[in-house]
Amino acid sequence: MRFHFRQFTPFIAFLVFCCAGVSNASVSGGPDKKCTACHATAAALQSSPTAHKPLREGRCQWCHKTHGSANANILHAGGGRDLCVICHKAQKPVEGEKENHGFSAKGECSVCHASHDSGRKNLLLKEPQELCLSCHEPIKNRLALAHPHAAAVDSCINCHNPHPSASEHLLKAKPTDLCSACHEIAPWQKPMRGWL
Amino acid sequence: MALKPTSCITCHNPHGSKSKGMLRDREHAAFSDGGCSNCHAAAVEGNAGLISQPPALCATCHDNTASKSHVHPPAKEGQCLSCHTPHVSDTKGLLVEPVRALCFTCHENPGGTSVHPPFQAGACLDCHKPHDSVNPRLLTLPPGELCLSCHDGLLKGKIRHAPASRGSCLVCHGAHTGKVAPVLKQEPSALCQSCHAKIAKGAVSHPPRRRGIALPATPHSSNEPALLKASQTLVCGGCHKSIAEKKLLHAPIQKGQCSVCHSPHGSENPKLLREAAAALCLSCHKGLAEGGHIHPPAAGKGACLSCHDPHGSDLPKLLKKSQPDLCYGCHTRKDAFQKVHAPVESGDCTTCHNPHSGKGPALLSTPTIKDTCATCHDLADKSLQQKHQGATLTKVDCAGCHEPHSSTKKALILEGTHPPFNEGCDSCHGSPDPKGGIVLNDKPPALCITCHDALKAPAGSIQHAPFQGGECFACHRPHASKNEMLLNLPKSEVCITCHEAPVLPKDGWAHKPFLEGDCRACHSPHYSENKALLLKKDGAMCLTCHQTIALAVKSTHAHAPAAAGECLTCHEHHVGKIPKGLLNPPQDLCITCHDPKDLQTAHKGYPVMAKQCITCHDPHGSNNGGMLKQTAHPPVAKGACGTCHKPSAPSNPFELKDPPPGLCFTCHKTVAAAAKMAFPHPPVAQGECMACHAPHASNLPSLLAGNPKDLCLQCHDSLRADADKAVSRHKPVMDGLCSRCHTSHGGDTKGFPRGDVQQLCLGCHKDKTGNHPQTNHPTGGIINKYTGKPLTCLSCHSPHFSDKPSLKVISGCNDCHK
Repeated sequence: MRFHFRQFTPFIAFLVFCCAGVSNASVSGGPDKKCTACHATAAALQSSPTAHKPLREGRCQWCHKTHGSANANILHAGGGRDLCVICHKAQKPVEGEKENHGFSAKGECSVCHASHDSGRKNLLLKEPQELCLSCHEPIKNRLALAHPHAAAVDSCINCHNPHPSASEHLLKAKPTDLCSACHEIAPWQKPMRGWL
Repeated sequence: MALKPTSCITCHNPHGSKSKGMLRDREHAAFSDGGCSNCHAAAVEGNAGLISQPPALCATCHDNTASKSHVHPPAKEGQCLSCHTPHVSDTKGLLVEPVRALCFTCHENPGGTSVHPPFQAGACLDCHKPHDSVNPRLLTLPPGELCLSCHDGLLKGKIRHAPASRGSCLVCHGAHTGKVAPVLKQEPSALCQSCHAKIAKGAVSHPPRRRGIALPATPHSSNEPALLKASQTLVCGGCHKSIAEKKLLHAPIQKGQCSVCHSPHGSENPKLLREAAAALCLSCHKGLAEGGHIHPPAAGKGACLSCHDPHGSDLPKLLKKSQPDLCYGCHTRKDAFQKVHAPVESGDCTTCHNPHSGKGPALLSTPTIKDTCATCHDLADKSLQQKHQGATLTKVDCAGCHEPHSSTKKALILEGTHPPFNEGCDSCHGSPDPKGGIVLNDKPPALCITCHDALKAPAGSIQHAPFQGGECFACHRPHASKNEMLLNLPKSEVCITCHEAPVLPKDGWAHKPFLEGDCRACHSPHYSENKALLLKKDGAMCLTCHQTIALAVKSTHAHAPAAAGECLTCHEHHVGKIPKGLLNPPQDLCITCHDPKDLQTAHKGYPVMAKQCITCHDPHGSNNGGMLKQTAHPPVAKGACGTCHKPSAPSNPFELKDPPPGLCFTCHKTVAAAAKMAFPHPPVAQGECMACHAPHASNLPSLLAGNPKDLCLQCHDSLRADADKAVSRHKPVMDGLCSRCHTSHGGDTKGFPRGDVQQLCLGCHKDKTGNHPQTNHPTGGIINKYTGKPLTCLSCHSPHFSDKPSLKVISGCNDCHK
């Protein structure tokens, strides 16, 4: 449920005040206790081994501003890539980055990743292959043809990098190098039938 | 020899294919089955040569693709390989990329939220030819025709939107994308107004237009005029549902012609009417406002709609209510008494009255009341004449004796009756004249005086001309009347049939009883010992009402004409041009009796005749010598003019010894001290003593120049507007008691209160010393944390006015208790 944080300001202020009193009295209360005391859904996910590291360690404040923020869900930044790259520095925008992953238009990181826990590795919202093909329908159709590429059926990320990059078709390397990882292409390097 | 990086995916699809070896879906016919030599010559040093260069090479198999009037530039320039791949491709036509992506390599995406579906789907070739066309922009068909090949049925209606009928679809629509759906170049309202700019004139606009909705009209074609989606009845009735739910409908509504009365887009008139309501109705219903007397609602703001529903009604004539309830909405009920006139009883007011306009009084359809009566009552009827003692009724005024609506008396006789009339006709009338004339036992006034013997005028008295001439019926009715004393007309109306009617002159004065038609307050109607038939002698008459002047004329120094009762020496009696009905402005009036030279001598040689005598003198009388007003400036009372004025010189006869305030402050030391305080009253600081005080004499204390309230408001006039807007008002402010709280000349605090503010408030509001407004709430003696200032009554209340109840300036506890 979405709510306006402002409406709850006095309430939350009161709550923090009370919690501060409690934690002073009982030493056992960790820093996260303040949040999970109310946010039961997040509290339930905290013990999951696949949960987001800050949640597992009770570092809610890494993403959320505890006293309030102008952003939805009292997040530090707008909730998209700007927030995630605070920690995931490798995903900072690179020069010449291709826009082709429909990335910014569809909500950035949260298109593929959950924020607290998804029950899967890398907080992925679906199984990896299913996740890619849920958008790339023409590819999905190709993979269903009589002669599909085994590497493509196995996993898209055999050849493609899932995150934004400057490479054509988000490929991990140039096509011949990728192909030669499995296929012997040396015979094709020779002139053919006198034409090449 | 190294392979190019993309070599593998030139022939293989990296994801999969229906053919073995994941080969791409389509092959160039010339390439299949190893037909390399169809295009290529044998390799020379590892480079494959071509037999000839495109487009000549391509044209050996493919017909000329650039023959029509409009040619795609790459086709014209023979750059076949810009779009096509020579060997294999997954795309039909062996394109290097899917169509949309291919086109976008040269053609920019125009952008826009609403997108033409073929454009969205990348079906560029649904509308465009790839190589050449006879149509502009390589279109497959001429523009309008092309659009209609999919959007058929848009031009089915008989009446067509001009751009649509010309096939100029792109006047309104974008070919690829648009700002708003359906692929429109602009918002509908703005788009329509780009051509139809003048359609929506006027301050009042139709709500759909105001919200930018142009819904009732269809943009392409319609069978209805003005491209309406359906008939006016349906289009208008879509929103205005209740209008057509009545049994009887206004003829234009019945015919679905709402636009006869309403302008559908905008108008200067309320309800989008084409003209002001009354004029609009009369444009069809001609002649309803003729006859001189108009029914006030018809001439008023609501016009015809005061009584009629303009759209429809369950009642005839589209009335809002049935008669007489509709009439009684404004008029008091006319059937209040026991005896009710038959048409009133049945509620048919329009039997006698025309509801719109009439020639006669009370909107009667005939010029006189008698004529209206005669439409039902045959005045020549024998039995009716017998009821009137055989008198002929052709010349009588029926309303002279009868009430037209209802009465407590039989035969609807008027309330006030001549007592003999109740008993029978014999007291005054003899037996009826066979010729129809009126026969009286004696001539008036002798006949009248047989009973009214007290009205016999004493010898030597002045008599009212009609009374003297025995014309009793000039003012009175012989049988019955609605008015007191059986008068023909109420109050002074009877007087002004002969005497001039009272009119208040512009910017002038009129005697109040005269203006209000109370002639008999001063005048006797029959006879009097006094001139002008006054009830008392001149002065005594005036002083019965003017009590303060009555006291002044009895004082030790009374003005001789006032004491002698000669009020009219100075005043008019009915109307005048000057306030208080003075015959002339005071300075001119006084010197008609008082010799200017004498006046100058009496005022120590100062030429006072050009001044307003009444600034110092009470014109009626005073207990002070020289009729000086109650309070005189001590130097004036002593005749010591030289205290303030220099001896009179011709150039500047009233020159002061020193200009105010210096002059005034020589005596008034406390005021001089106030002028130097932190917050002096601005007139005091600026030396404008005369703004509030009269220099010589006044009837008010402290020589004030006027009523204290008026004096303060002459500068602090914004208080007047504040009082009008305010919700709560401090009573002393409304009573003009400014000096209850403020000192007059200045003080050490802003607003120079008369002492400590808190004590000042508590002086009246004694119960507010604590526990206000809540138990344990202080009302003073602490610092308000919110403002950092001491808590006083003014922390929460305004001293003058407030837009909240109880003079509050705060909206609630939250203002301080955050």
